[in-house]
Amino acid sequence: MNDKTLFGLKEMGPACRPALLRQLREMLPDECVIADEAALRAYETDALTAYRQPPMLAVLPETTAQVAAVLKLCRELDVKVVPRGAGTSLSGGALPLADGIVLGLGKFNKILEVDFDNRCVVAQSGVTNLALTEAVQPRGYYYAPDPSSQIVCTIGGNVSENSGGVHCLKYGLTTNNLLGLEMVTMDGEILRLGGKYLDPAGYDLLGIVTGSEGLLGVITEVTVRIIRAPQTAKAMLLGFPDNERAGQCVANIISAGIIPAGIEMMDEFAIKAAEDFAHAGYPTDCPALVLTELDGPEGEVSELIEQVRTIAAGCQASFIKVSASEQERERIWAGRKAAFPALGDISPDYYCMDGTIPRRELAHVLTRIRELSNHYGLRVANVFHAGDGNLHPLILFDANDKEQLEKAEEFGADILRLCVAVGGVLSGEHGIGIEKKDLMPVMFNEADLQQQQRIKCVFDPAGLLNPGKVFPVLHRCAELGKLHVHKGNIPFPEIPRF
Amino acid sequence: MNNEHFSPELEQQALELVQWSVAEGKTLAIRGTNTKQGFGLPIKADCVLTMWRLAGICEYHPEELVMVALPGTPLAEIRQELTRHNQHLAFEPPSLNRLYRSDEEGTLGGVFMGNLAGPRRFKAGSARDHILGVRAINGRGELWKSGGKVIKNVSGYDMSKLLTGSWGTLSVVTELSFKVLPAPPVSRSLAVWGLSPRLGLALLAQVASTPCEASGLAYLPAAALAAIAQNDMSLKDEALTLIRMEGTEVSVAERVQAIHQWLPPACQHNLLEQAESALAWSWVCDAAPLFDEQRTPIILKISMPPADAWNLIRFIDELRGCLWYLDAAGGWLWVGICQVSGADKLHALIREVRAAAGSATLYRAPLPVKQSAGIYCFADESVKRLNEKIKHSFDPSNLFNPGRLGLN
Repeated sequence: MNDKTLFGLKEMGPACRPALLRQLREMLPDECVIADEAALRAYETDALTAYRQPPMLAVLPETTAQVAAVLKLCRELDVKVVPRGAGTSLSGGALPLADGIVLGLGKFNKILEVDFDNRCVVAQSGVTNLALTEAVQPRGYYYAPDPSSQIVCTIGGNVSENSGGVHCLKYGLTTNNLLGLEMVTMDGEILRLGGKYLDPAGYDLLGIVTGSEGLLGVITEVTVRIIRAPQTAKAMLLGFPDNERAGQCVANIISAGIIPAGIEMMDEFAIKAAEDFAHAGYPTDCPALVLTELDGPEGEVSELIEQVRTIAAGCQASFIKVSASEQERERIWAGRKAAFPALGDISPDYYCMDGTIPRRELAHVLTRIRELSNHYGLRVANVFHAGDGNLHPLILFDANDKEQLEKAEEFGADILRLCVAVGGVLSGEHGIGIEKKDLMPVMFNEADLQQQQRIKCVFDPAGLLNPGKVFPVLHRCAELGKLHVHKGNIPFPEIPRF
Repeated sequence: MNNEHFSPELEQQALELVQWSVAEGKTLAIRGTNTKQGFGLPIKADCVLTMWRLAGICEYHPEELVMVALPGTPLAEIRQELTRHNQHLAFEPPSLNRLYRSDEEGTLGGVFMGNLAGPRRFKAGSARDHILGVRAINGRGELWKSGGKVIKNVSGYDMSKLLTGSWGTLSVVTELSFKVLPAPPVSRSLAVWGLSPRLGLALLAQVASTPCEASGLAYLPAAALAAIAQNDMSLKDEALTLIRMEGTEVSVAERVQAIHQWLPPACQHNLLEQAESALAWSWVCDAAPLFDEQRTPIILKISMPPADAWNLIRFIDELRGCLWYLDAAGGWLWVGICQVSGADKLHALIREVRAAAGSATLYRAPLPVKQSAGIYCFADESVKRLNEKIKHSFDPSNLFNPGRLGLN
């Protein structure tokens, strides 16, 4: 069964291209419609580069009204639409379709309002994550979620993926920092959800749209909460003889009532790669490293640093270092942020996984990953958002070797199955996209998936918006809407009554 | 109407009951201990499904910041268990039983179905920011689940958030997992007396804009304070501006000290230690100034851009006959309207909230007022329509708490 029969679409696809192109050119300025094959190559992939597919066409609208007009037209012509921010998705969320258009939001790049009185920023969805912080930094504010791609990734993409970052343990994910948004549905209807206030009326529509991976609507504007930068922040490096004791230290810090601004873990392989690459001052003779940051009022930070030092010593830390200056703090983080490119330096390709586990399973999971690494004959480095249990095993391979690519994907899938088996989940922050959709049944049964798809049907009954992502199979809405009534066996005599 | 009550002890029993109600077309009023029945329009249902027997803490991992519990678990039990590990529900759920004149203690399910939150809302979020996963039964009689038992998860749509705040109209929840956090060891408040609303609001805005990390910022005019019947503090007959600081001893002391520089000259103030501070914030949290239904039969909770609070307050004072107080760093305005025939004032106020691009929820009102004003002040019709479609997607036959939210 191909996509077309799944969605009950007319056999249009590329056949409707000339008509679509003509009408798009009528509604948008020339430079906003891309039809040239070479130019379309720029959109053929996102940050999950193993998958490539040039779109039928790409459009770059400049206004919300244009987005609405494009979506309305595509709805009428049954043309699929893949929304795209900066194309930094690690799960293939912005991978184009041969018979669909890419709707790029690159021209939605303006910050519309910086409102210090209401402690929020209103921005178009194509504004980068970092630009939000830069806009408010002069007055001592910042936007808290900081995914590692923050220099380029867009706030609209952050909303679609519910992005996190190293500070989300203390300051929350995108969903906890979003106040409002403007979005356009596949019917071309413009919706405004929330605003500059805390609690919108009715069901939590902001909550369901955040993290919906571009399947429910095209986000054109956001309102985000900004917070005051902490008075001070200090980073600590803690080296341990093994992963078990490093994990125990993290658990003990949190049990002691301390929520660090960030707490990361790296294994030996990742430590060495990062240190060789960034010279961050990491101890290369430690099998496990915990990197943590404490922020807040100065007195509090000093107090907490001492507490953490004691806890780490109690877990046999062989190395303890506190950043003595802002430069040193930044250098410590630079090492962590360099972990990915560092591995890119020593291997032609790497595949970044993103499962979350209960932290108590850490030692078991890392041992099992090592066994799988031997089994597949592929090296793996582990970096880990230790506070919230979000694992990022990086599988090293050579994509030119087809066998290695397949093995890397199998290895990755095994890791994610393992995460679910120990009580965790498939994705902590990168999303399901195209990459993990076939694994969704590992975590969810048919009833769970159908309930999610009914939400898709509320927003996009024709299934035209970013189809082929998140769900292994997208059911027809008419089928999902049917009510199956099982008459008969009722009695439940054992249910207590008053 | 045959109001038969069912009280399942197991998820499977709840499932069978819902399957029966689907087959027979029987509507259900879904409850915990019925402490918030006053919220929303009256539910006209064939049967009552009470969830209080489906109770108990299933999993608690303090070092993972995760708890899993059944919906009928008394909130008191959750609090007690968390306290044993120096943790708490950071969103500070209020007890609304006094507001709705119930003697019972609320349940965990009620906290999440109402998306409750207290004064820490502007800093720590509400119940929806802490929900991690659910198991639930939809209006087709199907058991489904979403989310997980870890604190970071983007696998599939965030369905748990949709249920949070749905007041039992989308599914019957049978299990909840949620985030818990360390409780601050020290909690202290600065009580500043006698400031005019304008000065009080300015002080709240000032403190909110510093890195002092206040965890509570409220303003109660003298009239609101006077309406609090139970108080163990020798209350002055003056407006109260409350500023709460939480954290370690050294840190709280430092920050409380720092606030003094922003106090208006010669204002009276004193420090409320742990117990006194907790008491004062419980009034703000539980809406104590509005308990008396005779006095304020209509309650509207407004959520607005903090900078619009001043204009709204002036508007309310011009309406006369209203009791109000401000919470959540100026983001929430609780308004009690002091006569049964206050419908005109309510409508005027709702228009004003719309103009300020805010939102409002009717917490209490006589039936005709609820019917004419609706429970929610939706920003526009398209958002309301979307709410109705979502209700239909979960509960196509409108079996669960029919009519409660006034959605068709």
